[in-house]
Amino acid sequence: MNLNKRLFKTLGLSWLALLLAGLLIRWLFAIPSMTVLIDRSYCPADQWQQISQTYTDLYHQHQWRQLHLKTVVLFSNLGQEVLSSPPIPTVIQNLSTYGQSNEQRQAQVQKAYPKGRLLQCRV
Amino acid sequence: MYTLLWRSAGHAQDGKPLTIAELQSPQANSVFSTFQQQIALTTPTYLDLKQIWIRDPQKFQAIVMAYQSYVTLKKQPGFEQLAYIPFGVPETSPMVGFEWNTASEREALQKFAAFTTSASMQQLAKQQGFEPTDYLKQGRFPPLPSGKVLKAAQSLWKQRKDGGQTVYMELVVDTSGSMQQNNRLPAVQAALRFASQQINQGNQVGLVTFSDRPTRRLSLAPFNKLEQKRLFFAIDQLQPDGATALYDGLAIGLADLMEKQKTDPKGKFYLLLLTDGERTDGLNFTQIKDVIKYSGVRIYPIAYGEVNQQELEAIAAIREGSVYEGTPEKYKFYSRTCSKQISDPVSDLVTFLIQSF
Repeated sequence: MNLNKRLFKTLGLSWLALLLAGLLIRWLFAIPSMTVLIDRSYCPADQWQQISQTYTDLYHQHQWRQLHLKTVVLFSNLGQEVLSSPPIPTVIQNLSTYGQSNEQRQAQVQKAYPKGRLLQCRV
Repeated sequence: MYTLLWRSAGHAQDGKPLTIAELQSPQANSVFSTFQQQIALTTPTYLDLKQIWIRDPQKFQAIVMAYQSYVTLKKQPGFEQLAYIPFGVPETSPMVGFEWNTASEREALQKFAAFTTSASMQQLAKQQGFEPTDYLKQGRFPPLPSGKVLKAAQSLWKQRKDGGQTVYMELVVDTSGSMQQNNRLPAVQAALRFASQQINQGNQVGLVTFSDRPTRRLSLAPFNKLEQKRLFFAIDQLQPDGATALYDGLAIGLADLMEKQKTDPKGKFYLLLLTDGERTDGLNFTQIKDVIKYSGVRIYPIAYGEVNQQELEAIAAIREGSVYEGTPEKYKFYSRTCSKQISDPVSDLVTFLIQSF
């Protein structure tokens, strides 16, 4: 009976230690989380190519668990769209860009996502 | 479209009017191209779109319509959840008198104005949805564009409306003996001549006529100056005579368009069927019904005179088209958008439809 008690105690403490170690490792080696803000106002094809390439790099890091793409926000001066899961790079590559860039909208989006990484081209 | 371009130029923030220079910028052009890519279906008028939507409420996510149309459409079964998103400049229809109006015309206008502003008529108008909405009250709409800007916006639309897709249009014209009545055929000829000037280069137009039997007058080919001359020549040769092999003409037109579909499946295919009578010879509706259904061609019959209205409507409905009536009462709406060089109901309709595609 006494032996069982000690055994359970050791087992419980071991599990607790393991859990704490896990949490510590997770905290120490946490994957950085990121929100990507994509300005889809008119962008010439060659410049958009660069933007989609940057997104592709981020997406690959997300796949390799070096980075967690939390949210992707597409915005233009006609509106904005929040994508809860990151789209595959070809979606961004084939995205149509249109209209004037809007600094006011950009400021609003950046205010809502202060740590967001902004991808945009300036024409 | 003006509102979209105005917003895309960033004027929703500063409230300034759109300029011609902005219209020509890649920013404005890119908005227009993106907008065109989202369009599921185009029809000559929004009333046609509305009819298609009533037939199939799942067909569109949204269509452009006046507030009054929204009020009536919301009462239809299946449209209870319809939401209205206001945009654009107010579509007011002012009553206008001119200095050259005669005394009796002026008097008539004044009486009409008194009638429309009477309490009972105002009440009725309100019931029909003619009321100042919050959007109108707030006055946060784009400033009215100048005539020059509107013309430039129209040109932009005209040049780019096809969105990179080729439009194939077969004109199937009745040349049976009855087209001799009331100068119907000369009116159609005038309309075709005028409307052909509005066709974008590169789009394809063909002409098929039918009386006792169908005749291919002009094969579908990329439209240019030479094709236009060929079309003019073909139009000038038309003579009214014989019976009405309507479906034989339709079959030839469809066959030509379907042949083109093989090489350009992404094209837009239209057939304008102009007839003034019932089929009296050749194929019948039952024989050709399935061909129309699976043709991928949208058919717009223009009824002129004593036609089998029910059958024409059935033809149009198969492929989401509409019947256009060339009667004086019905044509006024279309004639507003057409040139004043011609003023016959059917010629205005033909012009209107060709300009629309």
